[in-house]
Amino acid sequence: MWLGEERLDILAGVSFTVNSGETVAVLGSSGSGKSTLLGLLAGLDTPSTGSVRVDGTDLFGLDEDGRAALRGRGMGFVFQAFQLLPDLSALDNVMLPLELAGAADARERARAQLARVGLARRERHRPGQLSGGEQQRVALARAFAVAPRLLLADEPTGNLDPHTGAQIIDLMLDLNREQGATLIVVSHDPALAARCGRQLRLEGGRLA
Amino acid sequence: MTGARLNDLRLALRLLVREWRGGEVRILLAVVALAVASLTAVAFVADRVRLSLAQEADALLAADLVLSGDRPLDPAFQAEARRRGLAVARSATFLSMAQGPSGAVLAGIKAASPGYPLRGRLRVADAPYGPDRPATGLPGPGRAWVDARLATELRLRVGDTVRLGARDLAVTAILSHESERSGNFMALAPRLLVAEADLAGTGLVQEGSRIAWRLFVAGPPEALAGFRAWATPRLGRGQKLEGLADARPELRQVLDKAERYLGLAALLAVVLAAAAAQMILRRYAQRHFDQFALLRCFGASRARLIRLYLAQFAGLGLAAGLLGGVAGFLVQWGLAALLADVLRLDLAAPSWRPFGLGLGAGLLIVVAFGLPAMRRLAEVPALRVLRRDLGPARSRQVLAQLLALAVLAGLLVWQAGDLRLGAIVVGGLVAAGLAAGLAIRALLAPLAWLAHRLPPAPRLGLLALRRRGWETTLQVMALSLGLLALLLLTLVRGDLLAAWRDKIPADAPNRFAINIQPDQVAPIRAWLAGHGVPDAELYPMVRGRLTAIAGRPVAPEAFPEERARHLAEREFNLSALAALPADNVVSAGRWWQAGARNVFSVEEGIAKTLGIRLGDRLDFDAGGLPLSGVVTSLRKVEWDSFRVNFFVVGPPGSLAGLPASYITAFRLAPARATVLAELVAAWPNVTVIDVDAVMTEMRTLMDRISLAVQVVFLFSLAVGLLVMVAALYARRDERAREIGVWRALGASAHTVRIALATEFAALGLLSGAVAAGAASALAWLLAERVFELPHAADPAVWLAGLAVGLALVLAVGLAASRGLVAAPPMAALRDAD
Repeated sequence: MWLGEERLDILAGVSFTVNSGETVAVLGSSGSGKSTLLGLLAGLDTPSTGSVRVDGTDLFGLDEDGRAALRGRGMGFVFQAFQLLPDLSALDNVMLPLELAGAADARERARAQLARVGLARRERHRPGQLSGGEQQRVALARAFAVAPRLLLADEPTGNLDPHTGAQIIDLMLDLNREQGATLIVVSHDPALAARCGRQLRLEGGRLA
Repeated sequence: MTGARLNDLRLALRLLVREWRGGEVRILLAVVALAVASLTAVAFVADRVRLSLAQEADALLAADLVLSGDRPLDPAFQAEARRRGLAVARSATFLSMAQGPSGAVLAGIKAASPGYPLRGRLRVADAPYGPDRPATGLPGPGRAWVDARLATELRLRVGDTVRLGARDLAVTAILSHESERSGNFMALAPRLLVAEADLAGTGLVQEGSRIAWRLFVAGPPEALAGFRAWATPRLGRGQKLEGLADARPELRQVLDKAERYLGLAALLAVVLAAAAAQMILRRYAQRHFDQFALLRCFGASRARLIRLYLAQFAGLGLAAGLLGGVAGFLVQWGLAALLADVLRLDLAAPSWRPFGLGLGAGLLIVVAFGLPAMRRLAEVPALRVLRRDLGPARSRQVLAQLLALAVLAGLLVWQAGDLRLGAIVVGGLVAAGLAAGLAIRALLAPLAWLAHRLPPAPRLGLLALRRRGWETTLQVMALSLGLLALLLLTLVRGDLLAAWRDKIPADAPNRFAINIQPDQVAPIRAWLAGHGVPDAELYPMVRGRLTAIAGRPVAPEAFPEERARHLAEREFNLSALAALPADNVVSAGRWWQAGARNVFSVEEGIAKTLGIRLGDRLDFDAGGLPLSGVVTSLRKVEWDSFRVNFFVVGPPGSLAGLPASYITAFRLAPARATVLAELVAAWPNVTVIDVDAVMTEMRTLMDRISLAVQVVFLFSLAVGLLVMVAALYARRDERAREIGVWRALGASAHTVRIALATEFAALGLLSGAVAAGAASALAWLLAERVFELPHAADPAVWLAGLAVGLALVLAVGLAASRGLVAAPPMAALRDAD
C-alpha cells in the first residue's frame, strides 16, 4: 500500500491455509492489519502483491464483478458495526442477500433464520428499535440465511458488552456447526479466540 | 425479459416500497407529481383553448369548411361529404323585397336546410332588442325569423305575417344573433331567415337570380382534409372553398397571454421539480452508500446494482408521472368545463397525449437527475463495509450533470413551445444562479464578524452557517429558487390580472352604429346626447380595395399565407383621424402633424402580414375613385378594447370627395336598450350592432381564465414550497450529528433551539433577499418582453421576499429538525458513526 510517497507494508509474508469446516481466529491489537487481512480474504480489497485462493480459485485473477459473484455464491459476513440497513425491518434485512441471490422462498428462509436466532417476534422491528445484541443476532441470521460455505466475521463482539458478546459467540459457533461452514473470525477478544479450533496472531503485519 | 432480469425488477420495486419509510422518497414523489400535474393540466388546457379558438372561428363560417358558388352546387359535393362521414347543411342567400304592415323593405334572405348552423348558434328574442336565448333548430315550414332592424322597419311583431315573393310567412321570433353574419359587419341588409323547404314556394328562385349558394361541411380534421383535397380540383367557375379565417383577434390576444402565463407556471414547476429531484437524490445517494457497499459485499455486480437503482428511480418517476397525470387530468377537466361553458363549445374528448407526456416527464426528471446520484453511488467501494470512512472516489460527475441539464432543457423547450419564453426563463435562472452564488458568498463574509458580537447560542448558529461556506451557498440558492418561484408567479400574475381587469372598462361601448350617412352625423350625435351619450365620436369610413403596395400591384394569389390572401381580396375600411386613439400606440414612424396630406398609418399586424413597410406608398380603389398615400407610421391596436379601430387611417380631410359613411360606438345601459328601436325607426338605413353579449362573454371568459391561472399557480406554489422543504430536509443527517456534538459538549436544549432558530432565520433572510432581487429583475423582463404589459417596479417585493423567506424557512426548518433536539446525543453520534 502506498501512502503519499512512502511505501507502507500493512501485511507482509502472511501465508496460511484454512481447511473446509475449520474455525480460525485471527488475533491482534489495533493496527496489526487484521481488518485489512479480512478485506483481502473477502476480495473487497486488493493486495499490491500476493494471492488468495478460495476453493482453488485465485481471487485476484478475477475482476471486481467476478469476486462479487464468488462472494454471492458462498460467503457470509458479520461486522463489528452490524451493518443493518436502518430503514429496513429485521426481516427485510435478513431477506436482502436472499433476494439478491434470487431465492424464491426468501421470506420463509429469512423467517426461519430469525426464529433460529430467537427473534421471531421482532421481525417487524427496525434496527433502531433493537438492542446491540439483538442487532448482531439479526446480522447472524442474515449471514447464515444464504447457507455460506465460508463465514467471515470482523470483531463480531467489538460493540457489545462481555455478557452479550459471549451469547453472540455461542450462537455464531452453534450456527456454524449446524451448517458445517468454514469460519474465519478477526478479533482481539481472547475469549472468542479460545473457542476457535485454531488461532493466528498478527503483529505489525506479520504472523507471529 | 430473462427470469433474472424480471427478478431484479421485482427486487427493485420491493426495495422502493421499503424506501417509503425514508421521508425523501415521499417528498420526491410529491414534488414530481405536482410538477407533472401542473404540466399536464396546462398541456390539456392549452390544447383545448386552441381547439376553442378554432371552433370560434368556425362559428363565423357556421362550419369548418364552406363551399360557395353563384349557381346551384353540384349534389356530388354533398354526397361526397356525407360519404366521408361529414355533417352537411345548405343555404341560399339573396336580396329581395319583404312586405309587412308598413310597406316593403329590401332584405337579405337566407333559406337554410336543417342542421344549419353546423358551428356556432343562432339566438332569438321575442321582441326587437329584447332579452334573447339560444335558438333550437330553424323556423318551421311557413314561418320566418326576422332581425330587429327588419322588424322595426316593417313594424313587425312576433305573430305577424311577412310576405316574401309569392309566400306569406308567420314571424315566430326575432333573430338576435347570427354568427355567420357577424364575420361581415357589412352584410348591411336586414335579415330574414326561412327554412329551405319554403324557398321554392316564394317563386324567387329563377334563372338569372343573383343567389349565393353555400354548402356547409363540418367534422373531424382528417375527413375534412380528405374532402378538401377531393373537392378543390372539382371547383367550377365562381365557386370557392373556405376554411377558417383568423377570427376574433381580441379573444386570441387574451388567450395567448393566458396560455403563456400558464406555460410559465408549468415551466417553473418543471425547473423546481428538477432542482428538488437533484437535491433529494443527492441525499438519497448519500444515505445509500452503506446499502450499496453491503449489496456489493453480498455478491451483486456493480452493473447489476446500477440497474437495480435505476429501476427504482424509473419506478418512482413513473409513479409520480402517473399520480401527476391523473391529478392534471382532473384539474384540466374542471378548467375545461369552466371555459367550455363561457365559450359555448362542445369540447372534443381530451386525448391521452398530455397524459403520456406527463408520464414521460415524471420518468425523465427522476431518472435524469438520478444519474449524477447514481454516478456517485457507483463509486462507493465494497470495502466500506469494513471501513466506514470510505466514501465514493472523487468522480467526474460533470457528464452526468450535463446530461441531466440537457434533459431539463429538452423538457423546457417542449413545454414552452415559445422559444423566447423558454430562453428568458432558463437564461434568467442561470444568470440569477450565478449572481446569487456570488451575492451569497459576499453576504456570508460579515457573518463571522456579526457572530462574535452575539451571545453564545445565536453565535453557534451563525458560525455553523459560515463554516459550511459552499454548502450554505447551495442551500440558499435552492431556498431562493423556491421563493423566487413564489414571488415571480405572484408578481407577474398580479400584472396580468390587473391588465385584464382594466381591459374591458365598465364604460366600454356596448353598441356599434354603422352605415350613418354624412348628413345624419349631426342629428344622430344630438340624439345620442339626448339619450345619455354626450360625447359620441363618429368616424368617417370609406371602403377601398388595396390595389398596390409601393408601386407593385396587389395580386391576392401571390401571397403564400391564407390570411394575407383573404385580406388582399377583401375591401378595407379606411378612416380619417386627427389624433391617435387612446388605445393605439405608434410602434414605428410618427403620428402626423395637423395639415398632413396623402399619408397613412397602418396597424402593425396587417402590415406584417401583407409586407407593408414604413415609406411604402399604398394605392386603394374606393368605389372606382383612387386614394393613395405614404405609410408614415405603424400602430399597435388593442383589439380587445371594444372601441372602433381601423387597419388603415389617414389624416382629417384625406377622405374628402369619397363616398363615406360613418360609424360610432357608444355605451347604453341595458335597461335603455329598447330606445334603439326609436333610432332605427328614425334613420332606417342605420344598422345597430349589439356587442353586449360578446362583452359579457369576454368578461366571463377573462374571469374563468384568471381562475385557471390561479389554479395552476397554486400547483407551482406547492412545488416551490416542497423544494424548500427538500432543501432543508437534505441536511437533516448532518444536522443531527452537529446537534449531537453540541449536546455532548454541554449545550442545553434551549441553546440548541436558539442556535437553530438563528441559523434558519439567517438562511431565510439571505434567501429572501436573493429571491427578491432575482424576482424583480425577471418580472420586469417577462412583463416587458413576453407579456407586453406595463410593469412598475414594486419595492414591496423586497419586503415580501424577506418576510416570507424568514417566516417560511424558520417554520419549515424548525419543523424539519423536530425531534433532533430531543433525541439523546448518543443516538445521533452512533448513527453518524
